[in-house]
Amino acid sequence: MIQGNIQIGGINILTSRLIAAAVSVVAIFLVYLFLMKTWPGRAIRAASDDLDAASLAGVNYRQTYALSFGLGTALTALAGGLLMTFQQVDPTMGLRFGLLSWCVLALAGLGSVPGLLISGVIVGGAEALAMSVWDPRSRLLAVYLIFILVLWLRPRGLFGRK
Amino acid sequence: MNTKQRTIKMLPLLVGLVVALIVPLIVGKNQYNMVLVTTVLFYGVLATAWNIIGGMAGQLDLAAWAYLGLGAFTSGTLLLRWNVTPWLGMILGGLVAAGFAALVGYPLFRFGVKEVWYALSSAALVEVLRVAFLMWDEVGGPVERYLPFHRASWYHMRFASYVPYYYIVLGLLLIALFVNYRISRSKLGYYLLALGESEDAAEVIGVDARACKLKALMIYAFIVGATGAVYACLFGFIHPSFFNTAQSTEVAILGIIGGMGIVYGPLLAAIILVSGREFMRANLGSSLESLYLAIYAVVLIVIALFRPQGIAPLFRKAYDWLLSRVVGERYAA
Repeated sequence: MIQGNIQIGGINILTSRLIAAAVSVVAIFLVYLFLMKTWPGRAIRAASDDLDAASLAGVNYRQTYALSFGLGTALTALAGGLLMTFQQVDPTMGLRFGLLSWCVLALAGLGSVPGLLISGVIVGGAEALAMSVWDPRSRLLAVYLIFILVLWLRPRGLFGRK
Repeated sequence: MNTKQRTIKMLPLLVGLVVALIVPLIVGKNQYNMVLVTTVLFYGVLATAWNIIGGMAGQLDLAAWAYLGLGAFTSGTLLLRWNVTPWLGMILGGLVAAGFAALVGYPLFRFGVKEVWYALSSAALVEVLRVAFLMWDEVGGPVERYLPFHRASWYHMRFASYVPYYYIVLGLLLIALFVNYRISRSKLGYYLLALGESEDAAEVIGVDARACKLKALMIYAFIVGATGAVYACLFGFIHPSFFNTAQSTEVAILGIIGGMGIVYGPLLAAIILVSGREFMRANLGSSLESLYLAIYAVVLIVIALFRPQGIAPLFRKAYDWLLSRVVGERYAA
């Protein structure tokens, strides 16, 4: 079902990529709603801002940390499942994609979910541009250079709260 | 401290040195075993050098193999193109690595990149260099560049046996330990320890944290770069895969497990963990491939959970206990 292409105005797009993008956007939207509108989400944000104050306000930080860790792991697994429909996968890819996701996160800044979407587009765009304009091998180079530059020049990211 | 106490304190070092010197006489017949002991010492050098920036200064540096690769490429390219001896290449490689470290470290520390962000940008550095050297066709490129083969040439640092390499790496290890020891006893060492504990507090007292961190980073990069030159000669080729993120992380892990800021800690961790890992790889490799990695990881997690201060204090306690049994409480180190 997810194999094959879709033509949109002369541009070929892999169906699997399209589905992956759609699922990702939905997942990001759900996470955003969870963090902003529900009590556990607020607890997570409070604990990240000021652990002592959050504890005083009745946040069980052990539970909250466990929840956010589990949620993060589940989302990563989701991303991995989507990724392997159109990319090569091997047991040692964890570090590579871990770094990549940190790049996106550093660019967006900690704690900004909408910023993540924009920085994801920037990183992906830089990858594609470097590949087509400069050198096919320079894909990761562009991403990591952006990452290092952002860390040097704007350590809290483009949209970070802290 | 009187002479007897000093002797007792130096005793483990002397015993270790003697054991290290006669190891090739015991296992030297078997080249595979020689590679293993050389690898263990090799990781010992890297982890000991890491102790300067990671253990003392408290900067979680994950770029060990970036400096190692720079050293390897510098000395390897010099040997291939201009027939420069790796002995000189070692020093030049170290200088290139230290220069690069200064180039990267200055803005890193200038803009106050700290903690997890420092760790990540140093990890990204390894990847940047790997891709850059893959693209740089004159020096790197996707094809391995083999160093000229010689059966026994001290000029080219190429030998048919691994025994000379063992002694070379042992020499590097002694230098790394000595540098580490000197730093830990110097003003710079105390500054580093202070800013490793709390950078703000150290700066308030008047420690120039940026300069100290940069110095530590450069010393570390120099040692690792020089080791990289030996590494290239040991395995006989240079390739961009030398810039390896996973291996760099492992150096940091050894440093942390060994005991942050303790001179001999990382070496202990390297001896125990790397030899244990290689032993498991050799023995389990035929039946349960890659299981050794899982066991290795579990051991690391257990140590990190129950011995967060590292395994070096454990050994110190054991040694003290042994001493008090043998020579009495009074002379315990």
